[in-house]
Amino acid sequence: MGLRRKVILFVATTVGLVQVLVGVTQLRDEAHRLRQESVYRGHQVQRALAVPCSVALANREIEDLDAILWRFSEADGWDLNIQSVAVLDLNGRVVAHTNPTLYGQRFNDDFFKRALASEVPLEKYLERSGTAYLQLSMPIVAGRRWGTMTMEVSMEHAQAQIAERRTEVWVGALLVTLLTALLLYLLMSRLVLQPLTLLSETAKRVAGGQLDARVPRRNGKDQIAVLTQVFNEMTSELQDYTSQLEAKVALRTQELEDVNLALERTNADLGDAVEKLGLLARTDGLTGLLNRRGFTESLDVEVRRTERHERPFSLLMIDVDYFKKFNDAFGHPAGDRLLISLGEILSENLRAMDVVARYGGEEFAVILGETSTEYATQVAEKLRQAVRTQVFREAGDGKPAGRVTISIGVATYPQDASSPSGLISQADQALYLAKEAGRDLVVACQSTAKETTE
Amino acid sequence: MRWLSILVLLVGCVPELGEVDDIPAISVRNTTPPTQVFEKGRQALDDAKVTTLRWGLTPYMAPEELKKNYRPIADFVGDRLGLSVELVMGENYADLEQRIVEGSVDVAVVSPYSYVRAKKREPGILPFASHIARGSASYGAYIIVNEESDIETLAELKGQSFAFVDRRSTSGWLFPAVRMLDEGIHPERDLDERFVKTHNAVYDAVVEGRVEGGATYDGALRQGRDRRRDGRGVRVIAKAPRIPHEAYVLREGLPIEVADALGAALFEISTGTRKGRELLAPMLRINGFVQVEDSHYDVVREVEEKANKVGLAVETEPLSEALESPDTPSEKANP
Repeated sequence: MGLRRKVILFVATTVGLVQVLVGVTQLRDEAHRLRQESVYRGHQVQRALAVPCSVALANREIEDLDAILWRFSEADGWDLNIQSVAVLDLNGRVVAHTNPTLYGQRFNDDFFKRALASEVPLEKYLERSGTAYLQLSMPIVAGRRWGTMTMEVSMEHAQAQIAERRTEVWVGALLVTLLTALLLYLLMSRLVLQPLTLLSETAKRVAGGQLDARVPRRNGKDQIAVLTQVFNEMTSELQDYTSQLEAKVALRTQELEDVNLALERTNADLGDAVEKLGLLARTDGLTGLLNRRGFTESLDVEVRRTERHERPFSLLMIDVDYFKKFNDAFGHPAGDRLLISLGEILSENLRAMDVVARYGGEEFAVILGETSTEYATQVAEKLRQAVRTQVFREAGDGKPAGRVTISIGVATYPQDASSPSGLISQADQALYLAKEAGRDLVVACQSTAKETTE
Repeated sequence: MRWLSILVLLVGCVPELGEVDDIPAISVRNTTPPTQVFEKGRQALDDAKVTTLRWGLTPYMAPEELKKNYRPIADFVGDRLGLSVELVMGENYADLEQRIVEGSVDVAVVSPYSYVRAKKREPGILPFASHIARGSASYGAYIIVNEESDIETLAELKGQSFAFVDRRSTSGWLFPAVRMLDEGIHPERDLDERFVKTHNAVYDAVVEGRVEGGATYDGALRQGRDRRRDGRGVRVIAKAPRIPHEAYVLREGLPIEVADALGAALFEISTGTRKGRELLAPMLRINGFVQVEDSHYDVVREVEEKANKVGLAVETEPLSEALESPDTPSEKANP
């Protein structure tokens, strides 16, 4: 809408201004024409009057000059608004005037001076208090120069005529301006604005995401038609481009998702590996039990658990009696097989929640969760019995290899020790006592009553 | 634009159309009027028991010459109305003014100044005609000095001897006197003034150097040049405003039909016809007669007011028996 208003305002104003310009120019020409006409007619009148005046002047008949002027002014009907007529002698003195009382005067006006000196008719246009006048002069000649006639004509009527025409010009200009504005309004609406509005509305729809929006085709080769065509082409391209872009994005998204999935899998595998690695690090390669490191970790866990639940647990430190002799008698591989078998026996005779670990060499450790010294001693006894009744066969040829005994030291947390290391130390101490006392024995920590079985 | 122009033109025409209907204040009629006009006039005069029309004249020139010059016109008018006309010469301007006011003449030809005075005294009197002389309805009043004189302006007349015609004279007193007042000269106090009864007397007094200056009308200047062949002349130093010619006045008590009839007879006379030229021959400068109304003399009233304002003496002693200078009766003169 803004564009339309601007264009209409601009063009209509321009047309109005041109109209005014033309009108004013015409007015000026008209004013000039009226003035020239008055000059011409005034001079004609003067020429006619000058003839009898020359006679009167030559005869020095002053009263006759008056009669000539008065006959003239009484006659009327000259269609010239004559204000005054004067006859001047060669010295510029007024010898006759339509106002007789001006007789004998000299006018020092510049025009009169020029008129006296001029041999041709003169004119001068002047304004006095808003009214225009024309001063005209005519030399009075009959054989020789006798004097000069001057005349003043009021241009009031011509002025009024011009003023009327001026109003006409302005009103006309106003009408033309309004008419132009109206025509422009209609023309622009039909030729430019409707298609432009359609274009801008379609553009808005496209901008709002409706990419399939199109402007109806226009006939013709004007700029609007071109613009429409270009707009439609652009929109089509935009649509194609957008759909291609979307496809690409979908593809990339899929690829990303695939990579992600693979990564997740790898991650899980890695976790498993790490877990396995941790397990390996804490597992004894020979027996498959926890190694010393895994044991220490489990002990720490158990200590923390006990601190939380305030339930005591017990630690069994187990050592194989005369393992060196066994090794020496049957060889190291048999020793290894013995250790494996012992691990199996220990595990079979314990609860799932209990932890069995190879502490080092021929030494095993067992953590009995939520177990008092008393019960732990019973479990330890059960383990001692299980081992001493087991006949170990030499692996390979199946020959019996004899019997093996174990010694066990029992300590309970927290009554026997206040730290994991303390607890181990206490259990070791009890184990030492069991060895001292002859082996194949279970010994609880010193605070506990020593119990020996055969 | 065109319709607008036409509209403007139409509107502009209206006042002009109005003007066409205006009857010009002055017109010369040469056509023979219908006889009813004269019959009605005659009837009116009969009703007023007028059998002889008494026609008063202002003695601005030798009375006997004047009477002789006027006789043909008076006879023509009398013939049209079917009754005899008696020409009555006033003793002077004041006497004739008195006669028309009191009604001892039926018609009077009076100076414009006398008319204005008489109309004031007796509003019942009716002006019905004036004349055209030398093609003009007006004439000029001039203040003159001897050609040889050093005087060039009115101011220089102060203290000098000066000749007027008569205190009832328009061009020989009223207009020149007021013109002097306009220039700051009081014609009674600042001048050694005298009244010499006729216009030619003024001219002669100036030419012969008996006075320094004088006031008279255009006819006297013309006659003077023609009368005097001694090469001596006068010089105009000032002019007064133009004056309408003398008035033909009907006395109070006579109906307007009488004025219509008298006017109709006068308007027949002009230098445009052989009969007219014959009648006007003794007064060659008169070209014919025109109808006038009272307002024709308003210009005289204005000047008279100025005179009254400064208290110029308007009364005069009765004119003595003889005129000082013989007037040539060849031209119509003015009061």
